[in-house]
Amino acid sequence: MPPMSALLNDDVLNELEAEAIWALRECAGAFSRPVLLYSIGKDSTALLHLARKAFAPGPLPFTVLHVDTTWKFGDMIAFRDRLSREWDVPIRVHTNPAGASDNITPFTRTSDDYTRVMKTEALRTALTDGGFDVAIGGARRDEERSRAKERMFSLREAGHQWNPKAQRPEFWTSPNLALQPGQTMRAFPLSNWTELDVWRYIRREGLEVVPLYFAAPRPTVMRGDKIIVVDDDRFELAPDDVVSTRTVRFRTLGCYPLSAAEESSATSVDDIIAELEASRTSERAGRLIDGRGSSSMEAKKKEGYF
Amino acid sequence: MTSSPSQSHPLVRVVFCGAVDDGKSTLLGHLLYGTDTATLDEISFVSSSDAIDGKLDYSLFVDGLESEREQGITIDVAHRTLTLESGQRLQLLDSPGHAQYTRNMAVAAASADIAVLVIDATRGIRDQSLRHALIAQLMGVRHIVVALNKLDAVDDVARAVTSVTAEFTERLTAMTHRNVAEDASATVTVVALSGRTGANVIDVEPSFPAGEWPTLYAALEGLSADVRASRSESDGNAPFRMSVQFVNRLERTRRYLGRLSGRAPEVGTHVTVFPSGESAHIVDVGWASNRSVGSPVSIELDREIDISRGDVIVEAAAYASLPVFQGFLADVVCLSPDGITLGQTYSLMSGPLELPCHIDVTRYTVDPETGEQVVGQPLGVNDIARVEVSTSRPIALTTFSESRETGGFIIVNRATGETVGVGMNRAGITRKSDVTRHAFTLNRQTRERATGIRGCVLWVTGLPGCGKSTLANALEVELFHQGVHTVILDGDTIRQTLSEDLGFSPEDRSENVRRVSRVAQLLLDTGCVVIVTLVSPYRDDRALARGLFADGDFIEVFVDTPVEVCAERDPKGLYARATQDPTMNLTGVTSPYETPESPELHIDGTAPVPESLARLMAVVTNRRAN
Repeated sequence: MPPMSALLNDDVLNELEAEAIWALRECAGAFSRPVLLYSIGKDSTALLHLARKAFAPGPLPFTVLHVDTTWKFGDMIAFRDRLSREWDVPIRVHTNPAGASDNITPFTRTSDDYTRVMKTEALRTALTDGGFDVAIGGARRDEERSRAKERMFSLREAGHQWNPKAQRPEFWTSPNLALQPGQTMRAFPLSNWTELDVWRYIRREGLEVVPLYFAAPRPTVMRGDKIIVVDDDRFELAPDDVVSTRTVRFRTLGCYPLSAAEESSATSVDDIIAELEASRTSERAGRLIDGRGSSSMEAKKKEGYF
Repeated sequence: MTSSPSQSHPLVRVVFCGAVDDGKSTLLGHLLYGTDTATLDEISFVSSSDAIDGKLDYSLFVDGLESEREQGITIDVAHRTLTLESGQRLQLLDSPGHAQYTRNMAVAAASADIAVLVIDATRGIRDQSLRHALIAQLMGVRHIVVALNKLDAVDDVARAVTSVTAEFTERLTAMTHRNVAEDASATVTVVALSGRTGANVIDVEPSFPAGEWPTLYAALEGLSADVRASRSESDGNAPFRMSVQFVNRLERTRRYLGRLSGRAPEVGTHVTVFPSGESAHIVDVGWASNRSVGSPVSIELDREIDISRGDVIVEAAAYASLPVFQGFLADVVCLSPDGITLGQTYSLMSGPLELPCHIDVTRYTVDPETGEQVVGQPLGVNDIARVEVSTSRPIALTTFSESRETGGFIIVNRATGETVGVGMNRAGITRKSDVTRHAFTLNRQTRERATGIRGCVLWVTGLPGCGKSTLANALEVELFHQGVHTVILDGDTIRQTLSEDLGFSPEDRSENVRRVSRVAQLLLDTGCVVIVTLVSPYRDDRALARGLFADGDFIEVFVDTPVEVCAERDPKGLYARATQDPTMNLTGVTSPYETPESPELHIDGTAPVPESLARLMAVVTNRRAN
């Protein structure tokens, strides 16, 4: 018999799974145009899997959308396209045309500027143009202090703005999903999952994830104390940059010049779970865009960032 | 079947509550820090922030919003996960103490199993402490841990604890006795500690009297084991019941999705649907992982029945004992700064169910200082009251003590979308199920299949003279040529017949709308297209009419014509008469018309008739019978 803690973990996963599927079904039942935002990362891959379970044996009753900044790791795009084929889930891709026309890249702009244009604005436009009334994302409360404060169903005023001081109360399985003109909803079915829950669920359900989550020798440069992987020849090296091979993995995946890797020897899901069980740092420590000011995530969310 | 020997629902939820500045966030922060739950980057963030007397400000671990850190108070609930050494997983909910944010405290208490009520031992008990204790108990929290805090600032700890505990117990008992139903499993545990120094939070404080009080950690460990044990007893012995969240229309069949309540259904289980009363057998059941209460389930039936979101599917044998009521006695916490207005139409939402409701009567509000029941008070923000609620049609709500999920509801302002109250159903009071309808052989679905078109109610509203009747007439002629059955309920005809006893006061207009909507409901059962042409100037009345129908069956058509144009057309000479007689009650001139906010169809009353007709036709003919 497995140890007690393993049984407990499995029960926790069942309860979290039930909650997430409930939320996904609410999105389908109470809204007219739901969209699931797929970011290719482990959380949104788990979320997409949950959505398939929620509506099996039928197809997903909503659009799946990837907001592509064009600066994702090559492995991520390959993974996205393969998953879309194998799971038979069409994934719509949206990119802010301003990126190409105004040459907005992580190298030409500050990370705040770049994130605002290529992520926040791109997302807002995609949501408005698609006429989506609920956008479903894989954000978790344990990721970050302002996320810990957010509701599972989180109202956005016209212009996709979040007002953290006036969130709707949320009770039991009776959320208030009524929308006034201009308002939209964000739904976070994984709100109560931790990073470890997501990995344990990936192991239990036998899900594949982007290979970048596993440790491998990769070409890297240092930026301060952060390890940055040189993913393709668009990477602009500074004159004193030394590209060296390090065995690293990612805890979180974003745009490649803005995601820091960690030295690790975890080459399997089991290894990752063991590594996280011993870890005392949080996952978003590797996100360069979060580090700017203690309320950076909250400020971005108020503007409409996921 | 799952053969796992473990129990379901392993998560235990703990709300930290109490009055503002009594140290909830600091205590919770210390618990996270002391159990190594806080991450290193959080610790470095907290250490780099302004420290108090060179010590960590533990509240910063949970006060995650900018405005919270600026004001030094908690505004909204923080959700944190804590895993105890036993492997037990706790979700810790930090809630605001400030009266202005009581609604957020209620959110945290609603799902909690244990409430840690933090009281500043140097200040004593405040109204807000008792208000939180009462809210927690009314919302079904069985275990209260009274955490007497800031004992590092007290000389004689034992004396302080004894005196505060005595006063609290006396006041809580008085309040509970009057306002909360008896519950033998309810417990109150006292812990004495300091969130600032960490004394008795995780480790026993050696300077406190030995063995007197458990640490907070030990208290949570003990209680969470009790919570788990009591849950496993109650799970899954009741008949199968599921509220339909979503109907998945697949190529050849329909699947009904929801959350399991009661026993797991199986292929062959005979079920009945509320409110239609139709029965069928289950031919397929889908599960996500396990089959305990709350698990996602999807079912397919052996015959097609009209089932919508919010309907309830139960084991056929249990249908007769389904608690069906149209009026309820409930405890309500008022969450809106504007209060709750008696008699106003609100939406009641409970799970996937949504329908119009009223609060008819306030039996009493509770004075949080004394627990006394005060009669005759309006329902103001943060008030806790016992009320009578009525809904536009009978619904199957359980009592809150049977299930929080199916016995709890929220009250929403229909115009603003604001959640104005949260309610706990205590008992049904008006039963409309005493009259059982005869099951006639021919039903709506059979008749609709004969014409190929799904019937509906087109509720055509607008000012007198806006063109309602003209459009209705044109539509009926067109549908007649296509073999679709129609009937027109025209305001003027109704006024001369069914409603000949009514005048034009707001009350009489409402009653007129009620009668017409009930007749429309009867006619819809014939599977025809019911065209109602009625000024119906009040939003609430139209909302009540809408509430009688299933989703999609009620189609509000707003014929939008400027009042000047109507007055110029004046087919019945009403506007001309109104200018002669200022006492005449004419909508748009001397009495108000409340414009529909989101009608299904918004028609420009000055557009050519063929254009508007085409839009109406499209709506009707797109509805194929199934």
